[in-house]
Amino acid sequence: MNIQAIRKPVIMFFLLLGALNVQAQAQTQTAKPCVELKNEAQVEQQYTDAQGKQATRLVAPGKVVPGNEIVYTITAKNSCDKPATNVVINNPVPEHMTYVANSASGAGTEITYSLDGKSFDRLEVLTVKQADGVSRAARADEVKAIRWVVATAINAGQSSSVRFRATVK
Amino acid sequence: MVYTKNSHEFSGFSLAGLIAASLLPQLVQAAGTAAGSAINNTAQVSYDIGGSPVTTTSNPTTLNVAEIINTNLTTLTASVSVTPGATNQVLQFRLTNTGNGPEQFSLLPNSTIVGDDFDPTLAANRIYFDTDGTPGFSPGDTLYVPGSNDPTLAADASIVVLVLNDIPTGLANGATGRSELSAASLTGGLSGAVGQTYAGQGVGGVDAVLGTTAGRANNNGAYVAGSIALTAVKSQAVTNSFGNSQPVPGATITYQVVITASGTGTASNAGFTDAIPANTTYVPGSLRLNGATLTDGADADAGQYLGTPTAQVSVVLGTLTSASTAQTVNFAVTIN
Repeated sequence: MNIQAIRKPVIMFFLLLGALNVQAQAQTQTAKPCVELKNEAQVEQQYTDAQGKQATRLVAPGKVVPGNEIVYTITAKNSCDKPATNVVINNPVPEHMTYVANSASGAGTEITYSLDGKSFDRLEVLTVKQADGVSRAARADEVKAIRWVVATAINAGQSSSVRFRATVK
Repeated sequence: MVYTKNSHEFSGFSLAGLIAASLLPQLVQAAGTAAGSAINNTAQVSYDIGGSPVTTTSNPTTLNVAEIINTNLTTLTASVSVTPGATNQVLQFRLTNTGNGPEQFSLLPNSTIVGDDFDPTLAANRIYFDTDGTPGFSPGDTLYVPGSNDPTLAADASIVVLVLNDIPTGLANGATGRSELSAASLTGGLSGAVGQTYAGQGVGGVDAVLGTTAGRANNNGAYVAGSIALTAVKSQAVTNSFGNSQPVPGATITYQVVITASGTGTASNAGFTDAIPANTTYVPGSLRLNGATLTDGADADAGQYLGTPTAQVSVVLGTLTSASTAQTVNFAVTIN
């Protein structure tokens, strides 16, 4: 009842401003975000390269079982013609997974960690308050979220990749 | 009054439970994330473009956790002392599903093991599940029928398996005969290799893969023939308020029981139990083993007092051989 009551005037509005309405729709369709974020889950695979040497490559995961290590790669690509500034990438450590110590990387980024998903800092300065009230240094396996602050702007057509590893609990 | 684990008088103590509790934390590995769980990941990015802040999220990635099949079999009775000719002698094992999904296992006993002194004979009804709540074998336990009631265990769950053998006659003292139990997941069977995948055969249709144990485990226990005998010598002292040793009402009788082992072999899980005499009342807190006070409750220490159905004291003495020092138990009662 209420919806119908609202809809009527809207339709009338569209009819009156038909030409303008078409233009607005066209704009909405092209308003894709300038920075697209691609997230990829892979596993390391040992293989023998063309020279017969043992090498490692990242492949799509087949079966995943507890203890397996997954490599997550997140790529931010700027597809607009203006630079994207103040780029910050956030990734919570997925449920059922444990962050692998020292595995977060990203060229030209400052990496901070969070134990609660809210406040971020360097892992060395994060602490955990124990039951006895004494604080101790946080461990990597207690990290709940990772943040990468990209130091410089991502220019038009450029991209920035970051990565971390986590094991299945 | 004195018993060993293999005698019919053995009852009351959850020895198997105590042993299991102490072994489990070291031996059982956590199964990990349950098979069939989805691991989802989505990243976010925030940025400014042309002065306006924007936040967007990435595509989600989803990984479905496959089922890993692993098992662990521990012996709860590494060695039991037996009398030659005894029948239905029990070895206890604990089968644990250390995988991350429910799995069914088959069990196979073997008593013809090379390298021991004699072969026990598997009893006609040879494998039971300890299902009646009383530790050790009792008639209420469930007989295992291969292919009919192969146990299904949830991830991390375990079951106590009892293997029954008859002991041949004419054995030398100290002769050892081993009996082995093997377990295998029905999915992987007896020949599946580590890492082998069974498409769609995990819980809820996920893939199943054989873990580091290939879903198989085995362990064994030993029967040790012996003619070890436990002897208990009981003495008493009476004290009363008149300062003499007349056993009048209200007088206290202090009992001392000295238990010694003689002969060859090992009495495993030896214990002592003694009924409180009629017309007397146990003095709370008076139970001692080798001078050390034992609390009356059923707890971590070796002794306890039971008020019902029959008032009695009992003390776990552990493993005794003829080389063991004499065990002294004290307790006191008052005359009603």
